[in-house]
Amino acid sequence: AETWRFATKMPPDSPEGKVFQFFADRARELSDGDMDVQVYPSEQLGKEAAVLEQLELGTINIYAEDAFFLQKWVPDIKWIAPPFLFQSREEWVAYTNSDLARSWFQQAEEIAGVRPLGEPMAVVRGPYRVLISKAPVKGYEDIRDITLRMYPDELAISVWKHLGAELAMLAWTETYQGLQSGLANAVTSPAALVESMGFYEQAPYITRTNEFWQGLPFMMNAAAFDALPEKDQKALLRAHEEAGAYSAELMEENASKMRAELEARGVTFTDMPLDPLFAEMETWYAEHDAAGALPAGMLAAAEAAKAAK
Amino acid sequence: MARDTTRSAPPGWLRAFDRGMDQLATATLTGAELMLAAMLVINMLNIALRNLGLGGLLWVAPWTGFLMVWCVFLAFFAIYRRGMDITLAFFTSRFGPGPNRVFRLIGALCGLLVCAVLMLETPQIIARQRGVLELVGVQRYWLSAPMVLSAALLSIHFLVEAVALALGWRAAAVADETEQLQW
Amino acid sequence: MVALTIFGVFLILMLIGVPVIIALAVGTLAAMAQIGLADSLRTLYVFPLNILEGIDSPALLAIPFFILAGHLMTAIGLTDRIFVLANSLVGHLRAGLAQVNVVCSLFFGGVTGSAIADVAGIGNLVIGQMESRGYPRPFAAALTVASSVIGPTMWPSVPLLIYAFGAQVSVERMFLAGIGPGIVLVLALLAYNRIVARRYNVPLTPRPPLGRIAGEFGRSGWALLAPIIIIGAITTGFASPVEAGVIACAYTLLLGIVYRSLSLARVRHAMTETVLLFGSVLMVIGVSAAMSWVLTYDQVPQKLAAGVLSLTDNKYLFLLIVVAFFLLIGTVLENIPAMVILIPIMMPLVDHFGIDRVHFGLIMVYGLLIGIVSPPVGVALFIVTKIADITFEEVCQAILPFFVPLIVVLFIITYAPAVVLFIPNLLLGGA
Ligand code: NA
Ligand code: NA
Repeated sequence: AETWRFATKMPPDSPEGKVFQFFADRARELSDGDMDVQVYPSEQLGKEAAVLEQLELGTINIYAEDAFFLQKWVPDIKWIAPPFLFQSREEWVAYTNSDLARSWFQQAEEIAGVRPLGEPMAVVRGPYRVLISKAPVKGYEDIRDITLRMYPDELAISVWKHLGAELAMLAWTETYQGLQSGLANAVTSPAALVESMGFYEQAPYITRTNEFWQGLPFMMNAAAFDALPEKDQKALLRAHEEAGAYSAELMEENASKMRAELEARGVTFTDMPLDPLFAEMETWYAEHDAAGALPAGMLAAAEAAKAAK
Repeated sequence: MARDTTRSAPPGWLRAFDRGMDQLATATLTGAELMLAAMLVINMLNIALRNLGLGGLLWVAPWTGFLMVWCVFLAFFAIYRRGMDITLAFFTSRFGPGPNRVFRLIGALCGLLVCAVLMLETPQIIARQRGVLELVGVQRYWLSAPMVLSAALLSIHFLVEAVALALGWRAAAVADETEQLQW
Repeated sequence: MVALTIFGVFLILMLIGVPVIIALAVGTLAAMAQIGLADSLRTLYVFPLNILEGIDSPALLAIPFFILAGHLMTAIGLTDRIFVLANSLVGHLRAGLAQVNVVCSLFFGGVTGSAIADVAGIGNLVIGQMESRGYPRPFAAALTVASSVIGPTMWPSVPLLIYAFGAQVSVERMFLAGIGPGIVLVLALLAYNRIVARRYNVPLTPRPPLGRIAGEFGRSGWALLAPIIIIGAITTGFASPVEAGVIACAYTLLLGIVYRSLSLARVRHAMTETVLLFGSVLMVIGVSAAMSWVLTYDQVPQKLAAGVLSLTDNKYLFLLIVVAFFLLIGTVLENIPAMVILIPIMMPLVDHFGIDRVHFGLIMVYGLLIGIVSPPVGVALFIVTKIADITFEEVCQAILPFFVPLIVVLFIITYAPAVVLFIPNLLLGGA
């Protein structure tokens, strides 16, 4: 059997971890045991940058994370999931299939020999983004009153500053304590992670933001894939397709279960109207476009994707 | 201390070499101290500004991480010039100067192997560690730059050490006998 | 086989006096060669990559500041003041100064949550004081090392945070769960001192008059405020846990100005000491990260876990094997890399046996922490040899008896889950 190393930053019992194990199991079955896919969870083989370098090297065969981390090789790919531009996942997925987005993946393959397995965004994360806060956020104007936990990401910093939030740089593992001490009073997260990280214990208000949409392309070492017999390539593609369907189901189930369970524990869900927020962000996009900060054709590709849906 | 006498007179350049390397170690160590001082100052500034309500400096955390890596790698060279790494002596101290010279020669060759590998990886490091570090604004391979520098200096250090031990220019000291008794 | 290569090469090289960083690195390179990664410089890139990866870690950022704070406190005579005061309070008790060592760790670890910072920060002073009162230097050094385990067992603590994240349990619950084991550990070390320190026949100092104690308070009160200010800074959100060490440095410098004991030369000396110590500790962590990577890459820990599961289906026997395994692995691996490797492998087993994840977390965090004080590879031991100016062999010998209380506490934590779970269940309700 051919051993393939699958690296991820997620723990095995996280929703993502379950999807990855499902993929590994199915790949083994569908290839009649040819493909021995070993999942290395929780950054066991390294953090983001180190894993990508090993993917290029071939000591790791697959890595699944949000695609914008490919900006190591293709800086424009930080625009693969533009914040507050698409109100629905369908529109966003259409955008990721635009010629522009495809050209970014193409560049990653040319530069680093790394290519997504199957449909890039078939495996779902999230399924949507939420804002967890100590005080209720009922409209986007309330964002001006929060101190948001931030991570080193220039794009996210620019967006949340534009919306008027105060920002506090905190590592993900430090966030709980930061909320407890008041260093920050709000944090953004995929819905499916809210319960396991326990942030709601310190910040009992949750609102859906649809900040951006998340898919987990299975980035793989292209040469390793091309060297496989066709039968095993097909098995991997099929297993990936099934993992995509399983992930959509699992994330949706987790999110709805999460809401019911947390409400029972006294957490309040506020439904902030999103239209004014997205309208406000249009000025941000217009400014950045005028300043030449967006990739050429990006807004056009976004418009086309929205029109198609 | 049981002392080993040098077997042949060390050449004059060895002394000058030692002096030069020690000066370089002082220079890189001072660099490491500057990194630490910078880490302290930018963090104090950040805490002060944030608590005065002037807003935190978001670049401080990533820069602190960057400076920490530089601090460690810059100190790497001085750690060996100043003999700061941990060694065990209970076994080697049972032997006389002859075997100890061999042990130390093996140690120098091991050090040379490790540092030479690190140095020879430079092209790989530059090729792979691409991508701009968020909020720091430099390519990722700059993180490894001081490691390559220290590895290069240490390769020379271990090479000369190995030659000096092999040709008998350096005395191989044997650890104190009281240490033996305690084991 | 890879494991055999690494540890075989490492142990032989250490034995013939090769320095630890080089010996670990050569063992790792030998293992990489064995599985074909050294065939070209291209694949051997994983070696420098994983050294960088081990060092470039946000979890380590708090450490240099706390080490610096410790050196600065010594440089301006602050630690002396704390010590004089503590000693005037309990120095007249039997084994008083040894007890002060333990209580100082509770205090200091309550601030830093780092065993390394504890040993590096107050070790030198405490050891010097103990020796001047008639305790053997190796005993004082070993006690300092053993008691440094207290800090990271209790909040604030980097390993507890890493476990909470990795095992997906509530951080608050994890923090509260550390209190019970921390108290048990402090009591065990105090009891051990009372029994053992008697042997050294240390003369008791007479109980000082109340007036003198008040006088000591007046002179040293500001120094005592340091931990309170640091804890206050973190809990009120004035500073993040990483920045707590910065607060400690700032406050120490301020006191140095007030006490007029600050000089540029002393600050410079403290910086040099900090950089050399921190640099060598982090290089060990970096090279062990490369070693952990090869082991993981070759699935050594995974195979080990599968082996354990094939041995037994009894929960208590399983825990016994796990505890022995943690102690064994702790002799060669650092606690944080070991946790990162083991948490995902262990969790399915933990669930399989119906063990509470929070309870297991304390077994793991504390069990692997013993590794930082156990030879041949133990960071706390390495540090104490440097700050106490003592040989590695002497410390290793002196630390051995301390494994009695340390391991007794590990068994209490393992087989009396109430010690761990009572406080979190009381305050947060059942899990
Ligand atoms: Na602590
Ligand atoms: Na202590």
